[in-house]
Amino acid sequence: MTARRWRVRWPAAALIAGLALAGGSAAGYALTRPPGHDYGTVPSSGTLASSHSGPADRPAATHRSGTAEPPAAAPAVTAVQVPVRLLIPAIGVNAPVLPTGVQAGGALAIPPDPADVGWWAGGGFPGEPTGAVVLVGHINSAVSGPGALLRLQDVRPGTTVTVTAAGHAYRYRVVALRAYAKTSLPVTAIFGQQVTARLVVVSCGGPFDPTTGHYLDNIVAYAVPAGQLPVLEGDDRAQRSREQQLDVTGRLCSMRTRQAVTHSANGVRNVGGIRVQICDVHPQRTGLGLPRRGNAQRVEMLIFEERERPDAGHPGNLELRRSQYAVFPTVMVVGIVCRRIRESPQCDVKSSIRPERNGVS
Amino acid sequence: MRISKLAAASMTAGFLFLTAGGAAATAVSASAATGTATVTVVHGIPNTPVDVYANGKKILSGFTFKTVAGPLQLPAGSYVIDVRKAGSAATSTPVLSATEPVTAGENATIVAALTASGTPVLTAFANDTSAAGTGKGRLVVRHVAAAPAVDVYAGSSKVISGLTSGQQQALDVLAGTVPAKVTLAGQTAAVLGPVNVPVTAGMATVVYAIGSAAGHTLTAVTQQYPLGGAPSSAQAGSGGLGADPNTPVWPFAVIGGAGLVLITAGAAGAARRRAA
Repeated sequence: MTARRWRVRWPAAALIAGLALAGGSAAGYALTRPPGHDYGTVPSSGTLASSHSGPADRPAATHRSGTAEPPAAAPAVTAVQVPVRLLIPAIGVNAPVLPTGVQAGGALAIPPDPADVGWWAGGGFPGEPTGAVVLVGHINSAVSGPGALLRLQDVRPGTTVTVTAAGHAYRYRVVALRAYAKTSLPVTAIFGQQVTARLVVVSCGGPFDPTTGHYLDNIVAYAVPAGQLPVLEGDDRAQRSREQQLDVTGRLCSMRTRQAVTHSANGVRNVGGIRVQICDVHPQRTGLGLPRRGNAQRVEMLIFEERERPDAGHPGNLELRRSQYAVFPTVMVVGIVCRRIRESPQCDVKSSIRPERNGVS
Repeated sequence: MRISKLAAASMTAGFLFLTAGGAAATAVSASAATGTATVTVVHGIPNTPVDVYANGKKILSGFTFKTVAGPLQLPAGSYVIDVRKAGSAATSTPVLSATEPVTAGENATIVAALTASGTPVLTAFANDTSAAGTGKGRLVVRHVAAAPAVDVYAGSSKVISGLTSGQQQALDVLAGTVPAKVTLAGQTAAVLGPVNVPVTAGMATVVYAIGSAAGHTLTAVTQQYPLGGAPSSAQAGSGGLGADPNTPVWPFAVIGGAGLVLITAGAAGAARRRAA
């Protein structure tokens, strides 16, 4: 009798319990999933207003009722800039950028080496007045360990992101960060090109699902242009050579105009501009750690090692280093030579300097 | 033999150049959004530095053999392309001239090249941007040299047969490095290569055979451009290393899985009961 009653009821009980567990687990994940680090407003992704007509805008081609009329006698031919490197010093990113495309099914291909960052070559170019420059990088790889964008979720509002291309370094300022479930990715906001200039950096994050081997979320950082500056002296070669990331704090102790183009004894080309001396520099290896918080005169820079005499064994063997760029509170510097003489390191900044400006200059 | 040697040497030089400037040779297609076309220009005429004009405006100066310029963004429209000897007056008679209509979003490459018989010619190729399969890239071979028909080998297998000057052929292959060589059609001795051609997932790598066989200037240059339309996803991690430690997903998966088992068992039990 008891057995019979049990047999009558267990399927219903199991169904109820099953539904509760299955539904509960989904709800549990949804509820306990952290709110994430989302902040800021994603720049509008609507179509560009036709009234948008900044001076940098490309003149529209003249079309008249479908006939292919030649554009104005002088066409606005733009040689676009292809990104070669991504720098986010705040989270220890200094990665080569390789062009990539979209595979059948719509997945953006990502460079096989997790240390590389992919640039969607069908998207926008840095320095253009419109379009989204889309970069995508691994958070990590099961095979190779940490990826280039392991810590993308740690960028804060205002974090500086620099994309270098041939001849220029394009600076961006992070304005928003989002964690999106991959199942509901706002593809227009991320990949849409009908937008004023922006940079979109995509990685993965959130919970890791070991059954699929993938993360459930995409982490997306949105940034807007914050000026550009020329990159001098074949920085590309320097970037590809041994490189080291340092965080440097120091005191700006002199600044004067320097116009001459010379070759110093150690072979460094000094380019005209303003010479800046930074005193009391304290380089600190950061690796993947956060850069040191400094005072107002903190110099934020990446230093590329170009030692004439590798591993010179004397104390303070910061023999000769050159940075690609540095950011002062009010000026931007290109090309820095640091010489650490005994215990008092000094950096001579021997390149062009221009005031920081907002927007693409 | 002599041809082969020279070709190999200049090919190496060509590829070294491309390694340094490879990124700059990438063409692009999101130009539809801005009403522009993406145009890449390839110089394949030996010993002839030129200036290139579009509708009377100089767009490339001192453009030399084996150079790939671009990608350039051109507003959609029709362009008179004039090629003049480098440094000559903008009003001088062009060496080559052609009218090329370009449409918004189009991706094209214009090649200043030689015909099979060695006559300079401007050839425009539309770049096929349709997506390749997952993990695949597209290898495109364009024969724009003063040379007879050629075969193309990937490793030891012949992948393209009898390609004549002015023609192209494409194949989608898994990403990686393709050891490629070019032979005269029906022969086995390489006139170009072997060289390693990188094929990237989601990208097309175009290899141009340029120069002149008779002039011992046969060589190759490459261009890359992206495939596919707008992306809809990005899988950028596989190791779990960056997982948010506060939200492990597996307990929920386990509980949810247990729930599903119970649902299945319950439904089966109910069905059995009904059957009984």
